[in-house]
Amino acid sequence: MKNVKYIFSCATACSEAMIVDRILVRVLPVLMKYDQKLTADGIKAADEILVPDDLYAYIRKVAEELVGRQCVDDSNA
Amino acid sequence: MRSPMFDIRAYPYDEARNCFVIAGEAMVFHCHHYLNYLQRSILDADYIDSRPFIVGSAADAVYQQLSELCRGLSVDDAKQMAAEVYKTFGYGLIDLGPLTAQGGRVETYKSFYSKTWVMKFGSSAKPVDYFTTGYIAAAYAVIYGHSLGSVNAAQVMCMACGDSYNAHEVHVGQGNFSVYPPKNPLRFNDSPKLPIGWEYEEVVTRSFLGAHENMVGNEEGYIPAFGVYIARNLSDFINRLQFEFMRAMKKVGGDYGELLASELLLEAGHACGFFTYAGVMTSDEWRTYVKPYLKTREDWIRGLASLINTMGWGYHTIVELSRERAVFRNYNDFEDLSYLRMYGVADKPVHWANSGGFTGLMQLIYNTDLIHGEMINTEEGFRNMRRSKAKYKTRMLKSIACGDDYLEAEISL
Repeated sequence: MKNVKYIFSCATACSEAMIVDRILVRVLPVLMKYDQKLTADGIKAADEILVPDDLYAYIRKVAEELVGRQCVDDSNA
Repeated sequence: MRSPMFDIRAYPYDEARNCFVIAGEAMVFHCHHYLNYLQRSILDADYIDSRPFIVGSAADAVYQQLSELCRGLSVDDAKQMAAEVYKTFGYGLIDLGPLTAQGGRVETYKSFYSKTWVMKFGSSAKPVDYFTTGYIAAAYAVIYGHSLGSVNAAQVMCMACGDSYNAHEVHVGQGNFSVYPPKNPLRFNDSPKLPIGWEYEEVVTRSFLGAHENMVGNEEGYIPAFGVYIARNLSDFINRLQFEFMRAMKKVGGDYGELLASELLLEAGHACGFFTYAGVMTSDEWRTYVKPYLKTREDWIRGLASLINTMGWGYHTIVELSRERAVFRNYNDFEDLSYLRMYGVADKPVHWANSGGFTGLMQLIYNTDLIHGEMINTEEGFRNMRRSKAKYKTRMLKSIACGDDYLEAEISL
């Protein structure tokens, strides 16, 4: 499991205000597969959000695609 | 030179219902921020095959309208009519001359969507002018008597992708966009309205009645106004986009899918409220005809409601208003009326654009210094405003599509 909170925080810091919602919309089918129902408010309020490695990698890929830059996550290295 | 065939002044503004109808189709202005944000939100969900309903929503509404406008016209006159309507509404310029009964290729050099997508988001990997594909498909069907379901249409070049012009190809064949069942007649809700309750409402409204007639495409077919580009949309087109997107997201993710989609639809309305209302409230017209009557921040909101009630979006009014909480209503808003017309009764409110617009207005008045002349309607200004700590939340309380007499939304801190 990996903490995906950092990816969302990184995307929020360097992109538009609703970037978290955009990422969630883009990854919806995969979230459903993992029975995850993340919301922007829930992500903001959480200290950490642990998700399976595959889901983490997918969210990170989509986030980087939408933001247009890398989201480096030292905590999960 | 042929004489003009389409004149928007031939269609009266309905003052009692605050709406504007052309050939059976209600017309609503939207700015390029709203229209592109909405389209991008739909396209973001790339697991949904959205192209058929984006093109189909346009084709269906345009087909209804052009069928009436072109009735009894020759092929050449009908082509001219369709081109003039397109230009008048602010979508750019098209020449349908190359079309024959077998189809053809239409090249355009002025396109609202291709131009303003780049302005807002930069270049695109895929063509973005779905509306014009639908428009040409509908015009082709009307002019040559084809059914919409037998038309195949596609955009094959796009200026937003770096091409030097747009190109759309259309022919009879296997239909490749959604076709919808007949719509119900447009039905208004004529229940008594709660007035804005501001002594200058009528004088402001009177000052702007008829002003919408000036918002027509220029020589390039664009309508630059209030610092944005606006287009006069067929309400059923633009609102079907929202409804079909919500249905598709619900199919994929149930209530959770709807929730995610709803956030982006509200944000599109929010952007519209922020950019367009800020543009209106910093315009010369506002300074001349509205500002002399404004004493408080609340007056700015009442003044704006009085003005926009002349633009065809229904009758906006205010039930409660303070920095912390406001309750807005709209009688005859076109998200609701279009929903009722196309889908029947809704099980939950459907007015994301209206509600998002109210939220954007509250942010503008209470979270910026716009009323003291600060110019904030830039992308950077929008980002800063959205990142501010005092964030308004939006709740859609009532909806005509759910059986209520009006739309009602609560905006609160």
